[in-house]
Amino acid sequence: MTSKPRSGKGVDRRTALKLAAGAGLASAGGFGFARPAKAADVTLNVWTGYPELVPYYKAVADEYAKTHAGFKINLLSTSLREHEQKLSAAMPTGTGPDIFDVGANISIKFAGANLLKPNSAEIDQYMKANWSKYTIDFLSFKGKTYGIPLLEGRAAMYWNKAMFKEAGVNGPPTTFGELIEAAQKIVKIDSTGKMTRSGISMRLSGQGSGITEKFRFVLEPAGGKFIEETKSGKWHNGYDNEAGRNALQLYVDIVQKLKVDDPKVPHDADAFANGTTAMLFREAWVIGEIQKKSPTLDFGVAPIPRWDAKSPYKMLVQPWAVYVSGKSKNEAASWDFLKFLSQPNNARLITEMTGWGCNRQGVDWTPLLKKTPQFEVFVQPPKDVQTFSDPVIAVFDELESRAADKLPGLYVDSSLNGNPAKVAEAIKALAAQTDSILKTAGIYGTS
Amino acid sequence: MVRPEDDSGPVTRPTSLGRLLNGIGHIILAVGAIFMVLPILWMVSTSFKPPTEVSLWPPELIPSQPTWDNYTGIFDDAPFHVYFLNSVGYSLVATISVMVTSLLAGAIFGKYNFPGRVFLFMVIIATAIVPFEAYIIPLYIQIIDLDWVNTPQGIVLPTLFLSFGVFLLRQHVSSAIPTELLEAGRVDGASEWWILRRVITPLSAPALSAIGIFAFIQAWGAFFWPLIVANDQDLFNMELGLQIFQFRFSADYGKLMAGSVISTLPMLIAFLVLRRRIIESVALSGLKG
Repeated sequence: MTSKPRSGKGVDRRTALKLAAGAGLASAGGFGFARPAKAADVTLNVWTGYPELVPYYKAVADEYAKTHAGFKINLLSTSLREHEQKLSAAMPTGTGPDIFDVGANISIKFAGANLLKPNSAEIDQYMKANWSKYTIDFLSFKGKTYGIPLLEGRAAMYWNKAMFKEAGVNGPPTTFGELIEAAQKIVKIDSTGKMTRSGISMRLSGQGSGITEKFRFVLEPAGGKFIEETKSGKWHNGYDNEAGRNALQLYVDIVQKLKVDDPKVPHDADAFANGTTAMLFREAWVIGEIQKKSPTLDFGVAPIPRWDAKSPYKMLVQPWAVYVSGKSKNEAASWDFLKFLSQPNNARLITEMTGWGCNRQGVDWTPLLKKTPQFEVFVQPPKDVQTFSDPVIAVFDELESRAADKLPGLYVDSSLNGNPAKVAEAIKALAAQTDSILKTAGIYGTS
Repeated sequence: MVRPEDDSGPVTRPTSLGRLLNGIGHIILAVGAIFMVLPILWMVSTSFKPPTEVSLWPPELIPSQPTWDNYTGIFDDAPFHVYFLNSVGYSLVATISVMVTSLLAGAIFGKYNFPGRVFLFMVIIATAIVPFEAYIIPLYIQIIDLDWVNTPQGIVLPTLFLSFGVFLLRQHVSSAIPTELLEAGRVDGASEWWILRRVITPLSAPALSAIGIFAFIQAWGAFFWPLIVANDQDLFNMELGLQIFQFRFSADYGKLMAGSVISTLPMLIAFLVLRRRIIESVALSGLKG
């Protein structure tokens, strides 16, 4: 067989196919090359569901490596929902990381399935010596602690100082009554009746548990609870009562009667940063967003108002911990790194770098507060602020998500406007749904 | 290709009702086109906006201070060139494999009789109606057994075969290639392998192109499976890489959009270059991509 001479004008089809096939095989083969590793090296696989923590983890790992030669972390960050999906596949099959951060609602599932080991006596003691009982309790399951606290989501009220001044309001409001009064003075409606600036940005639309979470920002100050635990460790709804009705009525009034917020105007952190709302209830990360998107904005942060002058301030606190996998082959190194990660200077660093708070005791916040005083409410909340948190039960996310499916519709339901009986009916139906989910989960009880 | 005017009979002038309906049709299509294009324009526009302009209200399509920072920034924040090359590698391997396996299986099912042919073909087709999510766990366990978790071969494995490709090629080979042609080759002493390469393959080029394009698009946009299998960010494709700009409650929209533009660009260029072939492929396969 003789081969045809090549024309030199280009690549013929056969050659092109060979090249393509060769490239494919080379790619497939090349991908499979193992990377050489030194036997003495310690590389920890760290997974995070907070991509904004990546620079923080890297900075702390670099610092740790200065005293631990050969130490490295292989960091994997994905958005939270994907992170949870990845962990759900990897943890039971032993293909997970050495270290990961995740919400307590997920970690208790892993603990229940023996995929997480309870903290050793040493780590347990370390936690109890450096964090509040509140945080310790939050991260405990069946009387045992798991993981080390990493950060905390704490909600407070952002207020735009310039808008308050312009409206002649001495802010910030300390009660919901004052808040409504201020919002009415600040809200802007154009000649066509269209809202161009909201007095306050409530969470009125969207999907997911966040809507219910924001409803609780009002429900708790009003004296209610989304779910309540009984003495026997069972749960039932805590809002089919006056507090629940008041909270829903406030939302309905804000949208329909008082018209200080509207689902059609921009909402959330972006709205506050670009000056289309005067007030917002949110966590500390918004400070970083404002610095990035609107660095000249003059704003303050205060506790979310009390229901009235006699009621307490309430603040939602959501601790977030970092864990060592029960199947890690580098358990000792992982815990040692986590202890380093949670040292006071690194705890401050997480707030400085990411805006997320941290309640590690013994942290000197002075340098941070000198630079960004707005962090004060989050890192050193006033003594009269009472905290509340998410109950650590597996179905809590479902409870919030299912309620969140209905709440936005209720906020704009015109039949609820000025109709307390309808509001009571809506709350009763919503509460019945909550109890029904608790019953299905086998944890419903009233005594 | 047959032109419409070649079809038959004299050309009739459209009635006024016909013209009206035609006009309405064009308006609906134009509005639809605007809705389709607007998000792409928005993506490109946002990719050139500084953070202070991204969330302005009312929004502005044209950035007042356009910047390249988002494009340079994404390469500072993550190895985007690696993600891009990974996407190219995974997609090419998937495309080549799907074309080869679909051709082989399609030719066998289309032109060869053997016991259980129909049953086997039905089994393959049945896999097309099972959603990926339904067998992702057994597949993942299989990948663990193969020790392919966190490897490129583990990432590309589910994209190497396409039951729809087998179906399409089988239909094409059985209906568009005369059996007499293969018989003539055999009479002349050609081997079955020679017939496959020199007769069936060239005559299946349109169907192969269709399936190749479909396989490439599918592999390029893969997200969930690579997410589960890749534990090392160096193995990420573009779709996964973009997540690093999605924070807990916010996003770096400028960089996210810059990354999305880069991710979309190859597909856009491929479409512009191959648009005729793609449209033919869509018509052939009945797919919308």
